Amino acid sequence: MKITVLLFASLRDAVGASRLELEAPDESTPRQIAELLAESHASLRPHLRTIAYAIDGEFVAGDAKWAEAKELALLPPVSGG
Amino acid sequence: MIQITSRPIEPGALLSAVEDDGSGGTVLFLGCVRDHSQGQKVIALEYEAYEPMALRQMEHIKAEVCQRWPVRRLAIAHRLGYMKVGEISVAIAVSCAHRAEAFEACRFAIDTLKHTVPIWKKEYRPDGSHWVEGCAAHPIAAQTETHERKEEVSV
Repeated sequence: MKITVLLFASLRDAVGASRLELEAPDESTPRQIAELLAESHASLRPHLRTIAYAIDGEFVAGDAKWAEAKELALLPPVSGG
Repeated sequence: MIQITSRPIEPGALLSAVEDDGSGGTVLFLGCVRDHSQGQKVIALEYEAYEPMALRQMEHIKAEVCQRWPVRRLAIAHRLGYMKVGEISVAIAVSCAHRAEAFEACRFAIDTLKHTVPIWKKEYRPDGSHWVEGCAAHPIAAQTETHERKEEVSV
């Protein structure tokens, strides 16, 4: 499946892009997609442990299943306020 | 009023937004850029957000706060972009019939915002800049569980 990955703050700096189109195996979970991305962007690997995931603006678990390819956001630890 | 803006935050606008004849207590929280962090001098902060999600998560906070306390009106504004020491990065105003719940509701709102809203800040120090990695982002429900667990441990 084709998926759009959004990257923010330290993750964007690590990967060097704020948005990537990715071809992932069907039924990949958010965590599997992040790991797939880390294979081609090694600088992402140290961040994997602390990443949170969101699909269409809502948090999802790393092992979430979703029906069709959408926008997956990879969120580093937040520091608003 | 739930707002993400690149312009300076006007506290008066938030106070106006929560004006209410039935409220006897209004609490206004302002988060400002501080000149130091962990013993280091800070010159400025730069904030960015995943805006659509940040707005949605701020709406969730409002809903959760209004469910837990008898809040009459609530306003949240977060500014994005580059801010110098002393500038306001976040403001929350809550009005309630009584002060106790207004204080509690406002405290919960800012504490929750720091865990659940996808906003990030970059710290500028004299020797360079770096992203501040705060709390692992998670939804409100997960935070509530964490709070309850902590309370259990401390009892």
